[in-house]
Amino acid sequence: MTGPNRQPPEDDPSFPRNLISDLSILYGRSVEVPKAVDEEMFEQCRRHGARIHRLKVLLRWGGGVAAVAAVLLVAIRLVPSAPVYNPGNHVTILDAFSLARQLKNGSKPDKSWDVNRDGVIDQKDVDAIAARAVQLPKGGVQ
Amino acid sequence: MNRWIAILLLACSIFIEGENTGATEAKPVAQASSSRFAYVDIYVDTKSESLAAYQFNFSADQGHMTVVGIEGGEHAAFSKNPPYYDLHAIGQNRVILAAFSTANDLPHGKTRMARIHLMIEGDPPHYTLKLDVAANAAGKEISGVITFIEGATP
Repeated sequence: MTGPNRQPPEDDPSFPRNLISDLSILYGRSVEVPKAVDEEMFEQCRRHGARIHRLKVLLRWGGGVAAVAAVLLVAIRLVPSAPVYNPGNHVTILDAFSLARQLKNGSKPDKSWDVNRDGVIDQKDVDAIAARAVQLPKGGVQ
Repeated sequence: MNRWIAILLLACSIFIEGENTGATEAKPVAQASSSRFAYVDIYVDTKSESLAAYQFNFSADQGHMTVVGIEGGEHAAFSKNPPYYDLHAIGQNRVILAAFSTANDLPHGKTRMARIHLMIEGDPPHYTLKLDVAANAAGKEISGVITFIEGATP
């Protein structure tokens, strides 16, 4: 904001020194500002500055939080959730295979896989699901 | 005199009836002698895909076939343990077989997955075989062709 038009006259070599001196006598008087007004002005400036600071902090942290939330949301969408055993569906050997793979990988299977209700999800549950998959209809075909 | 004749006729009829009953009971013995033992090898061909799990239905629509035993497949991943099956299938003419393997080395191409031992009485049965599901190591369903070859047990 210090363009050529805003250059103070005392710094401008094209201004005559006498003119500068006369103008200073006429308008160079210091204005008396009451201390209360002065303090109010400072207070308003301080409040305004604080508001801007708060806004900047809010934008900085809010933006960061929003970015983290977006990353988490995408990650949740991309990472497949742990499979759930649904005995209502047609049970096949693939259900038992799914649990066996989870146990082999060391992942913690969903508690719905505890088909024998013994509180532990292990090979016995795999066998129980497989047994259900190959179960013949009652009475069988003789 | 007539009374004695009646008693004699009754005794003769009872004797003849007993003879007939004995012949009827002997019939299964004659049938049993015509029974034979056989086996059916089940093959699954998944081409280039590795086979990690399968389930199929095996039954006989005609004839008199009884499942008497089941063996696992020829590949190491499926030979250690027999496939899963309903114990009630033994003595029936239908069985659902299923197995999976979490081993790293899995079969691909045409592989014998199971052998079913049978007792066949009378006419040769007409077998029905249907692959319910097959999957690769990732648990993803894959297509496969299931076939069988019947062999006679010596």
